[in-house]
Amino acid sequence: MWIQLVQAKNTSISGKYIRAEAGDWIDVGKQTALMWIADGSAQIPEALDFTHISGELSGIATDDRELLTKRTSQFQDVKIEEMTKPTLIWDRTAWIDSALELRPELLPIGFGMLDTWQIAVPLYDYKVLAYHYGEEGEREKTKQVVRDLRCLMYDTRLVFARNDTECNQVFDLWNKEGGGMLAFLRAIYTVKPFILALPSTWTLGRPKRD
Amino acid sequence: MTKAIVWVVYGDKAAEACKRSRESVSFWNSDPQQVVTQDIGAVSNKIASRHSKTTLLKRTEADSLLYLDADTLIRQAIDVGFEILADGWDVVMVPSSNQEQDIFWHIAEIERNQTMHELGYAPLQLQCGVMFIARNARTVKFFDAWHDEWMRYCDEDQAAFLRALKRVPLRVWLLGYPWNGGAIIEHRFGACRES
Repeated sequence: MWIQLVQAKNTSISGKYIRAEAGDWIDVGKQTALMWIADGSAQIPEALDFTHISGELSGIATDDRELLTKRTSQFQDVKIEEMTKPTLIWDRTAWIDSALELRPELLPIGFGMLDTWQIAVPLYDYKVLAYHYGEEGEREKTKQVVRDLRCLMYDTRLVFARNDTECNQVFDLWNKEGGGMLAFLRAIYTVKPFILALPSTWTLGRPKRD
Repeated sequence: MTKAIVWVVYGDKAAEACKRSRESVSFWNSDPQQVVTQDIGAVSNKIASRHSKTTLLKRTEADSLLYLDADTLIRQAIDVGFEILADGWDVVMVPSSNQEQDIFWHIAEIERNQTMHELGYAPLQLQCGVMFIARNARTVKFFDAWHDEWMRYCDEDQAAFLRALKRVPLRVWLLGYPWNGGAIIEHRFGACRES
């Protein structure tokens, strides 16, 4: 499948080794394409077409519409609403923290996951446990809910969710508990939605603003 | 609510490792133990073990299970995994340490490619060697799907697990690395593999 490289790659095409530069379009196997899209080193042309998430039923909620609009300036049709806190507005909403350096090519994939799952969220970091994170008081509060802090956390800068009863409960609890990753963990544990954990490459492990 | 710790064991190496694994569990936990090892007429121990693992709910009776690979050793208390199941989660497990470029490294290319094609994205790989499992209608249906998916290639079980999860989503609680390959459950990955 055809992909556009975001980073230069040394690769083999039809048995011939080539160096492809950032911005080049190359035709590679689907597995390679999905790997490179997942790790942020490539994007797919169809992902740049946002028409399938620009209808009435889906959109982006964010804390800074102006900033996020700039980051998605090439996609004029996608609805973006500014909210003071994570909110489910459409049937399918992507909550995006404006501090996140968004990878727009992943948005259609994330919305598509809601065909199967109620919520899809990247993991924060495979090596950072709830045990390692936040203030002692909140950790203790979290342990009372999730029972064991040696568990993984979700990077709540990017949350895809359906607008259904359980997801609204999650968002209500998350906001009520003050936001942040430990609060999200408590909300998820309490409500128990069908949640899909995405690889942490979806948010590229950039510095968190939690 | 009945509980059990379960291993699937085929072959001498696995049997020897399982003995050590069971001893390590006994130090920390008094729940019943069960070793699935019945002859299913498979052509290899690997095929037999994956076949039995993906039909585990048919081979056990407990309401809550902890499935352990034979090459695991318990180093701390594990009861909290069962408590998380009792709270309403279907499965409690840990992501694989092989992610991104290493995803599905042990899966044959044809199955790897087909899995990526069917999922439509590069997924989070889950490690199926340590799993707390609640028996309910959803997980029974999931295991049927897992076995179906495994039967397509009759090889490793992890890619089949993710394809099955797309067919039958579960409530999955993710623990961290101490629970599979760390301080709580040591995992000597590959120690039972036969050359």
